[in-house]
This record gives sequence, C-alpha cells and structure tokens, in this order.
Amino acid sequence: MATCAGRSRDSWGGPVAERVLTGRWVRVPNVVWRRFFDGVVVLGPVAERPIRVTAPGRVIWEQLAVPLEIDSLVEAVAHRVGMPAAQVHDDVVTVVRALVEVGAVAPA
Amino acid sequence: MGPEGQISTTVWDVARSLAVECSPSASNAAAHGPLSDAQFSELIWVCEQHRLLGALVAAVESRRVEATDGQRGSLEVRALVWLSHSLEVERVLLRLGEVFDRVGIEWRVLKGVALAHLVYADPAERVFADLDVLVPSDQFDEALRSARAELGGVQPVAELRPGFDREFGKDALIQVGTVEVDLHRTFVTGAFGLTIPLAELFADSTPVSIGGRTCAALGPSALLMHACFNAALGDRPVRLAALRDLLLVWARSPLTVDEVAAVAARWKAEAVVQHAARTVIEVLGLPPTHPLAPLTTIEVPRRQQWALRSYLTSRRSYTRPLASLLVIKGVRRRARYVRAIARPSTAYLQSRGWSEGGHLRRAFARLVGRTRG
Repeated sequence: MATCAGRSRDSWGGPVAERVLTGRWVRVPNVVWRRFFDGVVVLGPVAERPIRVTAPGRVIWEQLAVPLEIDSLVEAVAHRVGMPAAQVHDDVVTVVRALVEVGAVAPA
Repeated sequence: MGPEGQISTTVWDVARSLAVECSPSASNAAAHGPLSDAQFSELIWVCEQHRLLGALVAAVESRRVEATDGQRGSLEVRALVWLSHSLEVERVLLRLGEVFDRVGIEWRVLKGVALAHLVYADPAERVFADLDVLVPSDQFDEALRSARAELGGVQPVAELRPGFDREFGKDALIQVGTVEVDLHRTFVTGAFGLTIPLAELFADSTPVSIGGRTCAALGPSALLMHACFNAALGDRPVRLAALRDLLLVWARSPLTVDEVAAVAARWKAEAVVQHAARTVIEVLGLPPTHPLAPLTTIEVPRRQQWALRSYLTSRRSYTRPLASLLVIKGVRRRARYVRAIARPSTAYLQSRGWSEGGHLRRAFARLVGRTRG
C-alpha cells in the first residue's frame, strides 16, 4: 500500500513534477477506487498496489471527474475545504503528481 | 455469548445492527456504550469474517459507533487491507471482461462486486474477497481456457471428470495473482443449482458501472434469487453480509411477492426463498412486519424441503450429490453424474492430494456420520 498523505512534502522531481503544473488533468476511465474516511484509495491500471490519498484527497479526486487545470483544481479544493488557495496549492500538486505516477490521472 | 459461541453478545449485537442498517442506530450505540479495546478488536474480527468491515468504517466515520483514536487506527489498518484487495479484485474483473468480450463470451458479474455498486449507497461499505462471474454452460470451457491463457490464471483444483463442470458443476476456481476468480455456471452445487433455468440468467441484465466500465449484472429476478441462494445456501454459518445483501436487493427490487413466488416456482426453489427470508429475519431479529416477512410464508413443496435439508446438514458434501440425483433427468446423465462423484479423475484426486481409496473411504465415513462434513 502506497500512501500519499496530502500534507506530506515528498521530493518529487523529473518530468511528471513539471508537467503537472501545466495542462488539464482528469481521471483515467478504467481506474477503480473507494472513498476511505476523508480520503480515497485508488488502484491505477499500471500500479502494483493501491495508493491511499488522505485529506484533501477525496475532494481532489471528486473534482478530477472532469478535466481541470491545476489552478482551477486548487481554487475548487480551497473553496471546498475553506482555506486560501495558496495554502492548499502544494498539497494539491503533490496529490495530483502521485495520481499521475500510478496512472490514475492523465492529461485531458 | 453470540451464536458462534466465542463472540460476546455485545459485539454480536453491534455486528448485527451493522448488517441491518449498515451502521447501528443511535439507540443501539447508546445502549452498548463505547466498546473496550478488546471488544473493538473482536468487532473488527467479526466484521472481517462477515464482510462488514466497510459498514463498520461508515459507522465509525459517522460516529454511530464510538471509537477511540487507537481503535480507529486498528480499524483503518484492517479496512485498508480489505479495500485494497477489493480494488484488485475489480481490476481483474475489468481485464477478464475485456477478454470475454473480445472472444465473444457472454458474462454476468455476481455477488459482492456487483452488489457493492448496485445496491449499496457507497461501494466502500461492501468488501469482498473474490470475484464471481457467471458464464453460459456452452461457453464454460472456452471461458476457463481464456481466463487461464489471457490472464495467466491457474486452476488449482482439476475438474471432477472431463465435461463434469459444464454439465453439472457450480463453478471452477481460477487463481489470478492474489485474486480468486470463481467462474460460475450456476449458483450452487446440488439439487437447487441443477433446477435453475440457466438461460433465464442471460435473458436480461442490470447495467453496473465499475471502474468507468459498464458491466452486466443479473437482471432483477435473477439478482433477487441469487441473493436468496446466498443467504439460504451460501457459507455456513451464514455471513451477515449475505443477509444484508438480501435486505438491500429486496428493498430495491421491482418484483412483488407474487412475482417472486412465480420465479421461485419456475426455478423449483421456493424452499430457498423461504429459508433465506426466515434466516434474515431470525438472525437479524427483524420484526414480523418487516417487508421481507411475506417471503417466509410462500408455499414449499415437500420434495424441496428434503432437498433443502441436504444443504443444511454437516454431511452436505455428500448429501447434496445424493439429492442432485432426484433432479437430474435421464438415465445416462444420472450415470455420468454418479460415475464422476464415485470415481473422480486421477487429475482431480491428485489436485486435492487424495487417493482413490481414500476418497471412497472418506465419502462412506461422512455418509454414515463418522466424521463431520
């Protein structure tokens, strides 16, 4: 079980980290997932194991049902959790990167 | 003590209330108060055995079951294991569905996987351990071959005798990685599995979205009947999740009691429906006014009562085949059935680690009641 806590500060590098900040992102169609407390558990098509995304993971996952740019996603998440966008930005990017890595989210 | 002997009454009551309403009512929770760490650990264990762990998570999340931080942490660990496995099961379903569609095999997704998405408010509330898929008898062998070849599946137990599964069998088990796939031809072994008009199971379907893909589950009549079969003739002792499944399927079913009785009569399974409804009401302690109650009074032919007993005895491994002989039509078919039961193939015996002599001695001993079934 891989875990991506929304408030962790993993050191991400390389192409995925750069790409996430541009373009629009959406869930890929054949991903299986479940709500789990305040987060979600997601098994991407190419992942070896499910990934658990804690708060605000559920909000991010729900928003990514439709294609969104990162900035729009950050705004939506900030609105849902009642915090300033600047405060949730890094968490959102971290979660989206993790979801991209396991093939659960892809460019729209 | 609860019905399984070692389970405390308090824990069993909470588990039962989870099965009735997914999470205990406020009055139940208040009646029991907070559980001790030992009781909560026992509750987690019971919920794992009865496939109610997702319901317990929902109850803790909504604070209808009180849990300390430590208790919640223990629950998270176990629930995550089950949820993760459920997702792996669903991913295998998506792969298997692709294969079957490509080679032209009709299929229906069954049991926990289908019901989690069809009748539960949140699929996370229904965890499951394996994948159950129904295929037509005349495509059974091809389905097995495809699952083995395309998914790298392994069949740990060989067929009783060549051709037995597609003519009389209930299912075949294929191991795909960590996931057990039960490829079904019918719902149960024994007499009641042999009288189901199998073509009806593919006459209609209920669309169910899993992983963004629309799969086919059973149509309304077969869905309800299958829930009854699981509650009445499934695991012994019965799993609470099977009872909850039936409650939810019935609550969402468009069928009237008369329509259910008509389907049950056509399937020669009135005893199954009646026993399932009685089991739900007795085990979960539901009132006689419950909407399921009318199903407890449908008329059951005497022959079916005898067949039902063949499933409920501890010697059912051997009484079920005997009862099957009553419903198998034709001398040659009966002979093939008896031969397969009495003289399994060498491959089957080897896959079970048995010898031919040992198989016959075991069968005789169980039939005369020397050992427990």
